[in-house]
Amino acid sequence: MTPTTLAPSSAGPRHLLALLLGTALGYSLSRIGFTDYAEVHRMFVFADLRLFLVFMGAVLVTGLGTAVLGRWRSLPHKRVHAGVVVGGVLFGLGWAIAGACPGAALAQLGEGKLYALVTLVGVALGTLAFHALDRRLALLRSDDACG
Amino acid sequence: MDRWPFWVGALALGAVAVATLAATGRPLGVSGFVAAALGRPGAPPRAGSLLFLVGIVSGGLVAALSDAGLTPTLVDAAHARFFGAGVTGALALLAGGVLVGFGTAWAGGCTSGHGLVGVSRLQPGSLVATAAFFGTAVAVSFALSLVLGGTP
Repeated sequence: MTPTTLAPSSAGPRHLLALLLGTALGYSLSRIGFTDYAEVHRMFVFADLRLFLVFMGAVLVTGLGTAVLGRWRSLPHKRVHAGVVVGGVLFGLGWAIAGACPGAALAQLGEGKLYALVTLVGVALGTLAFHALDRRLALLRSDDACG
Repeated sequence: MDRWPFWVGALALGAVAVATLAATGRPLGVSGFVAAALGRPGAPPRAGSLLFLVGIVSGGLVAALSDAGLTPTLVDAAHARFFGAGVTGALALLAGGVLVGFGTAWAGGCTSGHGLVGVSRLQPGSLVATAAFFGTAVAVSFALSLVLGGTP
């Protein structure tokens, strides 16, 4: 199957699309409950499996859609390296403590949960700190593909 | 906020991931968009990524306005039960955020890029990263409940 992309080539429509897609994601994260510390915690201690079911269902839908678009094989490969283990562990620790992954923290802010600003400052500092270190220590090299 | 049944949430999240790929040609990956919006080393900040992030904030706002309305809050009661409502709670959010930013940058993805798009394509790195972050979050959450008491 040939890869399909409807990506507009000029900046205006591209930027409007990015804004709309982000809005759909933020709205969904809020209505699902990924922005609620208590719900996320209940997922992680298996007290409520709804968020897990959402996630597993979303993986299926994404896989099917990606295959229909003919992109299942052609997207960047995500190989195993030290960072996916150590970085993954650090991310899991942070998610359990702050209760938000990067997208959820942004949607929290939109909901009026102003404390998410503190989480987001942390996310920005952590990202910049990694890139500063990464430039000095090539051994921390991560995949450069969008994450 | 009024919650969707799980299957509506699954369809919505999947649809956003597929629509992002179809409409932009790029896979969905919020931590990657954060890195691109801040400016990766040697690259200028990307406006499209920044607008996607602004969109996520707007989406949360629309969800609040279309539900119970916007009531700004400074503290999450469930989070405060574990970490306190004052400086300790804020420090926990800051430290947690730094770990999320550093960890996702190192892993090359977060819940969306690895967990959703990568796992759906059975990418080895994404499967390992997702096992690592979900597994760690489960272990740490059980520890928090045990040590600090109860489940919010």
